[in-house]
Amino acid sequence: MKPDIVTIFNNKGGVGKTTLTYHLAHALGDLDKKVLLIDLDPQCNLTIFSLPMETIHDIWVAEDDFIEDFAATRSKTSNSDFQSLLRKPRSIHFDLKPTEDGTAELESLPPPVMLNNNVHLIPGRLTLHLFEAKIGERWSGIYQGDPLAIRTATRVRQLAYDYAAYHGYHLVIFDTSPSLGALNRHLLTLADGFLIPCSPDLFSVYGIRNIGGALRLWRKQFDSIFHLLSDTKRSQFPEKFVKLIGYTIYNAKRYSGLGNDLDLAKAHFHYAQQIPGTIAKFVDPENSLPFTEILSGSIGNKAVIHSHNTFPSMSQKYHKPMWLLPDINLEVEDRSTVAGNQNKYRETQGAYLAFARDFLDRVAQL
Amino acid sequence: MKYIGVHPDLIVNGHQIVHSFKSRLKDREHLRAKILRKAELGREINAQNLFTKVTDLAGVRILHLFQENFAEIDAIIRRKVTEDGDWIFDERPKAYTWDPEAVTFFQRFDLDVSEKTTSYTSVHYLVRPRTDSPLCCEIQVRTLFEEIWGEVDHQINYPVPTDNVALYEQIKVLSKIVGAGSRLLDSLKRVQNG
Repeated sequence: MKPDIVTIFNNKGGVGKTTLTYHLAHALGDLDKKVLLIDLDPQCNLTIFSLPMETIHDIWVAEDDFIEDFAATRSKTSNSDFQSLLRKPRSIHFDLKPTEDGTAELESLPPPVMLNNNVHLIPGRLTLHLFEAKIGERWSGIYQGDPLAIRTATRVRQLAYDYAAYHGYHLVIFDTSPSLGALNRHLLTLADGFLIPCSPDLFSVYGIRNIGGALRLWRKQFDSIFHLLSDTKRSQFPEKFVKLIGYTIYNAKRYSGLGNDLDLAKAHFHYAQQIPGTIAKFVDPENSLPFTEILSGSIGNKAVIHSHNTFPSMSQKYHKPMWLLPDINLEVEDRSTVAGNQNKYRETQGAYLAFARDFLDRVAQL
Repeated sequence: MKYIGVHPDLIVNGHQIVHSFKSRLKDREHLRAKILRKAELGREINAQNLFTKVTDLAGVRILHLFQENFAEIDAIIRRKVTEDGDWIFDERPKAYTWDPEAVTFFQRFDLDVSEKTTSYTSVHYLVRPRTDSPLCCEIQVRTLFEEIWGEVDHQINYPVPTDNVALYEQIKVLSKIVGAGSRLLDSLKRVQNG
């Protein structure tokens, strides 16, 4: 079974994308979906949200030399040491490094980190910009059918498929940085679908304009490329171009005194209302699920649009979804805070399940 | 239209087998003239058949010193077709020459050899990236000496062939001279390599 690959993308940082991605994955897990998160943001926010600092440090430090020079370090490392390195979780940059250096691929894939039974993570790494540089350098080689250029361009998708074949993931989610650079060109176009979390402000509206333009350009570039490639080489790229599955307002201030249907403060409501129209205007319909179906509202409707105040920072501190916090062992100073709001903490689960169900309905249409 | 380039791999084994290469896209006026010439011969070129009838919109010329190095260049071009699958031949590659000795040389390769008394020696490949692609590129491979002949002939006989008998005669002599030049180079190389 092939997984559906979905990229979470916003052109502007700080919209709470990490919180959304983390909780979406856990809600999908609660719905019995097997999910692989891949942190492809060089800033590693999702990894930091999901794992204790010591764990991240242990993963990174063991692979430092390989990130410096994979082939040289591999030849200095005994087979048994290398095998034990591959038996523990490694960062996505480690997985991609043989491609980056143009050397032989790993003979076996390192395991992902299991956040729970259904939700797994391949951690990020700050050095991912090195891989991005190679994507940029080798881009023109794709037009000539250069095998290493094509391998570099499509490796992330191939990895997602390889992991899914082994672990049986229904969904692979790419988390990305908020840029429209070379790496994200591939993370968006190598996915089957993508969604845009938006805070209801000017930046999201402009971000959508940007994304629409970038998709149009990339689609043209890939169309030219597919014109030139043999069928064998063409088959390494996705059959269909990526489609927008929708947007979700996120991190909006709740304000129910104004009588608008989203319970938003005035300024937020003003921008929130502009988002569907901006998508319809700037994203080509061919790069999206039908507008009539995805623009009637946020994914999951109002379920997750409002800010959770301090919940996400608590969630990150304990590396657990918000709805589990009332039932785990907390530090003394946090106990009363969480206990006093425990119903609100628990209610987040229903909200994210509603969001995840709508998400799945849309993914099914891809 | 996307230009299909020549890979720098054509510089083989560290030896500069390829002396130089150049590429051009046919400019609008030359294309217009070509379409008119074809129309006069009763062969209509329109928007539907442009990409099948005009196969030299993109052109690449590869120049080499020694005739015998043609073998390596031919192998590299064929590898793109047979091994890499990046190109297909639009038609069987052709060698043009006036020289019976060159005919014998080119018969060792998988080429249609056409002997023309007024011509010079050059090999032409037509490649497309895929069978269903409108993009076609003509790759011409010849020695530097033949390139000289081709360039001079182009200035004298193009677009209208000269009716000056002296010019016509001298161009023919020039083709013999460059043929002899190409042959002399190969001989020099054989002597040097013992």
